[in-house]
Amino acid sequence: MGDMAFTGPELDEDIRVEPRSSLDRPWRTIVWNDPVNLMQYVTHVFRTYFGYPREEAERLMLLVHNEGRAVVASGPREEVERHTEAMHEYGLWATADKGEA
Amino acid sequence: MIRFALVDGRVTLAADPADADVLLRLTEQFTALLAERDVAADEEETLPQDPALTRLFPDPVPDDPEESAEVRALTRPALTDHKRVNAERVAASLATPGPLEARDELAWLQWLTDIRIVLASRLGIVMDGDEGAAATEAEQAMQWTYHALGSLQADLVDALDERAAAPGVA
Repeated sequence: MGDMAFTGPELDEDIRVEPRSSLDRPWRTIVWNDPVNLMQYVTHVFRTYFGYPREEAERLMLLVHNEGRAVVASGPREEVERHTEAMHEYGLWATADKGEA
Repeated sequence: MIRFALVDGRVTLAADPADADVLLRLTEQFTALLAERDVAADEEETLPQDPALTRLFPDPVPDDPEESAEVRALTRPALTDHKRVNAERVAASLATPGPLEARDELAWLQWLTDIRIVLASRLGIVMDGDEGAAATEAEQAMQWTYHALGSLQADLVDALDERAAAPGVA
């Protein structure tokens, strides 16, 4: 390593992320209720695609069924958009959003 | 009769020729519908779309039209291909029933959903509890198919879940 200590980028102290900006909120994949998909199928998709244990998959499926929607994943935008597309492959009605302010 | 059963740990398709023929025609109609979407894809925002297509390809980011257009441009071709390949795999396995490859299991699972979405759209089933149109013989036949394919999908999910729960299976 020698003498050249690397201290990393120096951020100006004035740079702050506004607490209410979209940058500090994770994106979310939301699955919405629809009249076509079987409850058993939706649970199966949540288990096999996301790897949720049966209980969690059933809890999310019931949220979709009873409340009309459920947040099934959250994280960085690109990851969430990938999950959303995967849900479309399964024929689930899914959308991505920035989460609540 | 079309059915799935777990045989020696493999999901196995049985299909009599008459029913296989009905499903084969549905896969062809589904592929034709996707082709229709390909033509309209560039004008997706301005052209009124077939409601079945709107449901098969939901707006990915409804709160943010700009982001949504970007995501659609990036993902729609692959998503359309994925759905088309599913239909083609289903058609191919109907021609030679028997044990399914893993990718064919997924193709059946997803295509049965997609084709039921199209049938539901045609029947006007848009909310929980909707019975759907059943005035004409054609509508009654479509209703029958819609429910029969739902049962078939439930059988497939049962077989997959049963195998996943079986001891000694990864």
